[in-house]
Amino acid sequence: MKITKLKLKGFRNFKDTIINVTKKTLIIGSNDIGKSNMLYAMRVLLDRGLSEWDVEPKDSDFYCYDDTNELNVIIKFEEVTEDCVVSKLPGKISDDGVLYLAYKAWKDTHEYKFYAGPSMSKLEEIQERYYRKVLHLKYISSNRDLHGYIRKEKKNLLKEAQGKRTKKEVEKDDKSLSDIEKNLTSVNDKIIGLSYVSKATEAINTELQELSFHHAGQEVVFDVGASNVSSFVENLHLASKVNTSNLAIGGDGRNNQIYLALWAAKNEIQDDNPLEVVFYCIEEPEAHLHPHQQRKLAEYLVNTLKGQVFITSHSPQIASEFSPNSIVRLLNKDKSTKAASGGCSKIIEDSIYEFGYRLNVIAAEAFFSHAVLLVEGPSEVLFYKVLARELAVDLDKLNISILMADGVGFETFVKVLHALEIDWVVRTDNDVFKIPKKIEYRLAGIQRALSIFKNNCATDTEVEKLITSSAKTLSGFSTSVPPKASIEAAGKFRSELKKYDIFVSDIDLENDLLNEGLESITLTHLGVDDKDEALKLMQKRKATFMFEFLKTNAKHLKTLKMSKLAEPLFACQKLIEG
Amino acid sequence: MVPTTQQQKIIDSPGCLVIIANPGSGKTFVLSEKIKLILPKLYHFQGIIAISYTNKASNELKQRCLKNGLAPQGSFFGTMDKFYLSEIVVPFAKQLFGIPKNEINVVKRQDLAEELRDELNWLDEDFDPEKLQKEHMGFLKKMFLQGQIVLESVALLALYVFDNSRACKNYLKARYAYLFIDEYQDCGKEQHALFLRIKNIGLVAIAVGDANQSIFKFSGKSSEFLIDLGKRKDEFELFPLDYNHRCHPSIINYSLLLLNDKAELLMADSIHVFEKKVTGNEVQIAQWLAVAIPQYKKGYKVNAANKIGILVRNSRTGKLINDNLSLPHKYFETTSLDEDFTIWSGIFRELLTIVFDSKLSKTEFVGKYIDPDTNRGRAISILKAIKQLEDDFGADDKNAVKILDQFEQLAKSLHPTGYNQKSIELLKEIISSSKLLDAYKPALDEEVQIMTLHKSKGLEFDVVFHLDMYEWILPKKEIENRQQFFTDITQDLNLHYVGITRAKKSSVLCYSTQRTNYKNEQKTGNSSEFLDIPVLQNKRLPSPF
Repeated sequence: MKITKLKLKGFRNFKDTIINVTKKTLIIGSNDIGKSNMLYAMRVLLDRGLSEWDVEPKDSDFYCYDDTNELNVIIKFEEVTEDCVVSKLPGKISDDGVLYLAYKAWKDTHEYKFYAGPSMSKLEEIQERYYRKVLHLKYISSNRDLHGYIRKEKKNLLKEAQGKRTKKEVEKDDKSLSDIEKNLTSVNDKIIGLSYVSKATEAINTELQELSFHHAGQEVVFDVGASNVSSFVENLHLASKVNTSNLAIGGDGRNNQIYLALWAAKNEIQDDNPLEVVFYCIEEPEAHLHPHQQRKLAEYLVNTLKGQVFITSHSPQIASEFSPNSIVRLLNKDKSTKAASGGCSKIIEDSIYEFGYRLNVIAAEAFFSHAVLLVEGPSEVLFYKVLARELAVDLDKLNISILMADGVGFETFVKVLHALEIDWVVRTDNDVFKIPKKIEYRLAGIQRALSIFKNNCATDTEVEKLITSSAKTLSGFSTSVPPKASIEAAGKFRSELKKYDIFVSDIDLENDLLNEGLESITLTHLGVDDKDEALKLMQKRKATFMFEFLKTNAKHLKTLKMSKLAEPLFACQKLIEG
Repeated sequence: MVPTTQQQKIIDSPGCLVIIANPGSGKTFVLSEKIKLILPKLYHFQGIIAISYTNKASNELKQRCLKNGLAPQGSFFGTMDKFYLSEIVVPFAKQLFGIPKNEINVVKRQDLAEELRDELNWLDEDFDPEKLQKEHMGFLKKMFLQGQIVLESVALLALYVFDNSRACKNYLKARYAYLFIDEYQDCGKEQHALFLRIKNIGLVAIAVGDANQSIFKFSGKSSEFLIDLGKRKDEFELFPLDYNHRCHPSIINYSLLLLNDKAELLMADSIHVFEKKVTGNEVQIAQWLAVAIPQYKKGYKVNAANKIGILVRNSRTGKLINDNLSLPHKYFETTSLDEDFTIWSGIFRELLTIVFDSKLSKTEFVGKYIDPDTNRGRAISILKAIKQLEDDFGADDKNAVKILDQFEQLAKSLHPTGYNQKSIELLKEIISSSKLLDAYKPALDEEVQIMTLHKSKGLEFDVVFHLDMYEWILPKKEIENRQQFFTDITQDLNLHYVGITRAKKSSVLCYSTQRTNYKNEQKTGNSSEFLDIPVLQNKRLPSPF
């Protein structure tokens, strides 16, 4: 069985939100958007760890912008066929295996009720969450007490292994233990016999005698402590071994991995269990891990956990392990948290299809941004990052990513961003391409921009008119330099599409740089005196040129503030700052 | 308690079973031993369904199963009605019909408002629960949506919900591994249908019953359904469970093999089932009986002639024997009341029998309809009324009108909703005829009893002479378009089974070389197909007399 849908109404950040989820769901979104609240909603109904007292509503559980008196948390399950669940909820599961569980609470009375039923309209009150014996959720919070847990579980590990010994092993161990005990006693005696150990307490004992007559006959001594063999053994430390020499465990990242490994082993999450259905919620599993281990961990969690898994994360490394159609991106809209495209959805699935199954980490970064400036290639990325700095557009503060469409393609990338409801700005080159097998050319850059517009933007009568009148002139001309009519049409398209944050360069970054007032600086930088020669050099190794150029000339970029080159950057800023 | 070999076989048998048991044969013991073996093997969310006839029986079974600290897991112990309600109707009718406006309440038909009660009169008719009319289910649905479930319709509703709700089937299959039903002889049509359906979704089904002891010989409840299970040899293993030997084991073995040639048999040291072929016709049979009966009586130590029964398929044969038998005897005529299967007609038949036979327990009779523990006052007043009826019948100047009215009052208090004008008319006919009334009076000690197989259901004799073992007669066969066919082989097999098992000590199967047909013509008498069944050949002997 699986959870397919959540409905959160009047609950914390959620005014009235439906979120579709899938077998492995990654929940992303900025801080305080409500990721943990979404998990908490599920936990209210499913986590055995939440008592009646815990689920009693607090004022802060109610959506605060309206005068909300009632909150609703509804979970939809599908494919409910597991015997253990079917047997526990007679009448609550439909013929085709659909089950709803719901939690409702009221602010004025602080009352709350639980419901179950085969459809939203047939929910019936149930007295308690009795189904949690067979249907529940395990939750790992982001503030996990790694040390405490490891200490506790260490004992269990030993205990379990003890229980699984064969009779022979038990006998051998017992013999060993009695040897150890003898040795321990002798070690203990020797330690106490060390001259400085015995003398160290002399002074105290003298004082004690002086203080009170009652202390007569008593003395304080240093003791090894673990003279008892079992407590000595239990005092073992978990240590990592590197080529047989011990490495103390202590790093939080390492402990985090151990924590999850212990947890997974303890919960036997790799086995099919006929007695219960378990869902897993893990918050920010990436904590303290370096990027490669984050990916490894994500892969482990996605592939190893048998049940349905919900993971919250801020890590592009984790995100890149998830197929994008399993990503729920939470965002704020009209004072309420919503899921982009309703959560895991067909829309995203379709747009992702062209993306290839997995994202690269850089593309995954886009999912965590508020806005993305999508540019052609690495030199544009370098350029715009420096330009932003020089023009005092704080990309990190605004949470703007500058990414290249290289490899994925502008249209696919925008489609995904659109589906995840992430704001975007595009800047693409004004390419002129030859049409294959014909001696004809087309304005590929403008056509690309137009296609992005058609698929992702609202309808616009002005653009429609322009398309009917001029779209044809964008293609089919016979020279690589477009005729005047085509250039004019391109100009009109360019200025219309700008309104939708789709920017087409005059020619390309290198040409535009030269034409927007940086010619002399560039010529000086390159040590040439001819513009054409400069262009040749610039375009030969674009990224290297840009890197070298920016290293020494960054401050000159300030002069581009009013230029067309800066427009996409300010468009991004405007999207966020409004 | 150590199980007998027979009991152990049943306990160890893993599949679907039909256990035909006698009272005192340790049914509850066997069931609880079986359940105790099963429970520990189930997952914690699973259980068994154990249905008993009364809450008391159910509690006893439950206590016996769980007395050694065994966890009941998700098991259901209770009565059939409780099972219908809590496991089928209440949870799943909501999915089919909708959520009721009010809290669900179970009401008795008699407690409904009159106009609602009248809408349910069809419940008294003999209808096929599988082909229920739309408006009837529509009415039950309407009641349900108002939060009312009529107790008398629960079985029907349960069957309907089971058939129409996949979720219900999924639930029962997920939750329960075994289905046990005790007292299967008192099973109704709906219960029988549901039992088989639940078995078919994968539960191991086990039915226990006493084929001789159906409490309700009317209102669709009948040991026929137990016999029907016994015949399903590919689905169920058939076991006898006989501890105090009500019937001779050879008679039980014969009757079980008749149903199911794979039936598990009892140990029998001798054979007490006989076959007799008389030369001549029914007249010669009567003459043979006059000689043979005293010999059987002596041979089997029968102390009164009325413990000998002559059972016939047709009343035609019954009349012929009645006319020609020289021994003292009583022929029980089949009346029109006997042939009417409504509830009130059933009550009238039983009342007539009880009023004339001082040996029958009136308290037991009343207990079948109302619980004397909870309705003490009502039970006492009914018992008083029966006593009054006895006195009125005994009076020299019988007041037929008063008697008829008393019957009606009694039927009303026993089964208020069964009101049936036709039954009253039939009763009136009987009360006004001393000849017809005679059919309900017990035979005297020195009278051999003659009656139809139909009428013999629920009775017992020391020795039974089972007549009419002819081809064409039992099982009844007809010709249409030159094709021979059996008109109702199932019913006839059941009748034959009933006939054989009426005997405690010996059962004699009789036919003759000539027989009289319905046109009073003499026909050649051939032996019945039932006598040709191969496995039965060595299970009976020629009559020694």
